[in-house]
Amino acid sequence: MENRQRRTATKPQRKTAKAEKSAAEDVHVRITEFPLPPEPATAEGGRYVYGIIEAKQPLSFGKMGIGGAGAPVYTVNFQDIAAVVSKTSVYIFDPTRENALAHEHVIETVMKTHTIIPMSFGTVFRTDDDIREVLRSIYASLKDVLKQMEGKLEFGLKVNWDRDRIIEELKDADEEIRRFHQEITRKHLQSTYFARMQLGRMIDKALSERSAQYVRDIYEALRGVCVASRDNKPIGDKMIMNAAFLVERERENDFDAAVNKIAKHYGELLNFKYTGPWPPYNFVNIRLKLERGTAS
Amino acid sequence: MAKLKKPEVLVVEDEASVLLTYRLLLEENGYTVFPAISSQEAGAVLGRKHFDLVLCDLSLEQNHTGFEVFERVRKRDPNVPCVMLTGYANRETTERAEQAGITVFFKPIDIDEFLRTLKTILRNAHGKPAKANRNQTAAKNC
Repeated sequence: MENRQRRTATKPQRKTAKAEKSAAEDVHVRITEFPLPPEPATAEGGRYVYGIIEAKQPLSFGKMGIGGAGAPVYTVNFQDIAAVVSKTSVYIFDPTRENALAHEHVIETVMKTHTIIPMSFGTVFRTDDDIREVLRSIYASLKDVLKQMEGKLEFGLKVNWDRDRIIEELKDADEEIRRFHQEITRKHLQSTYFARMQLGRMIDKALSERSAQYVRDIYEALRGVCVASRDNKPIGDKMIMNAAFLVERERENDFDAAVNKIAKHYGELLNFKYTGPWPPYNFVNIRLKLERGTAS
Repeated sequence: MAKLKKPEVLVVEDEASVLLTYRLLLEENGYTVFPAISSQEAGAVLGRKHFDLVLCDLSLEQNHTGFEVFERVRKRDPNVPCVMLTGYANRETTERAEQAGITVFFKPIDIDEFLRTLKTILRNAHGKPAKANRNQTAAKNC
């Protein structure tokens, strides 16, 4: 299950007039089922896993672990890959703002120097050995994903429109709607239910077509500067596009320029909310789960 | 001089074009409309906002009904006037609405009558069904 938290943290601001970066954007976290059934913590507690990176040697990233105590963030290595973890005394983390931001902060720090496969929010294992066992069991898959994601960043793009303004435009510009609307007004068909419903259907259809056209145009404008894109379901009736783009780190500026260009093209008509860089949350879907066999 | 606040209406209807129609109609007539395309979306909005009136279709997505929405409304604020729209309603449904103090409109509604009734509902004491004239197509007052 994917669940994004409302983002309230700071994130590096993109320098753009129209393609604004929202300070209250989403925190990209996935909440999945708990990887292990909760059991009483050992004296040492569990291990909160933030993500997987390539690393031949053990690394440490500072005291910023989730849970409020600033637990050291370090790696649990297996061959040339490693899980980025911190010790924790709890097994189930509520997706509070504080926890979500702590999770995000660690991932952001690590991704400055490494390609990271981000883990879902709340991924906790019991021991370092359990983590090594998982890394061993899906080593090939993780290596493959790390290779695919190497040097790539994710950017989010949400596009909102002023629906009321578009409706007014349609009433003027769309010949069929304009005629029908005039007819309703002229003949005082206010009280005719079916006429109103027909007008509603016409406007709704025209809105869908207009929205689809805008979205197609925006994808087309960004196609050349991204590696992949993912279309998520828009939230609410003002949003027409909720997409994630995978971009080569070295083409970040090109992508930035392309977003600004298309945003400028639409002027006041569309409002672009542009966020990132993020780890490739929308392009990686790995859930870590250790299933213990029973000895027979 | 202070501007009069427009009545805020939550409109719940699972068919997008119909929802848009109610929205346009109500906005043209001085209401601020908060549209919800499902009972789930309505529930989310109701959790964070108070409305002057809730307008909801009887039949919603995946066998959900308007009554679920109204229950949520009334749990939060028993005095919010509720109006149900339906193309078909059996005796049991209308009695249930009547008991809950919900005004029922049968589709196809007479739009002038509908708008007049909404005004009356908002003018009247909160929660009491409006006195609407019943005609062939318009309001059934429960």
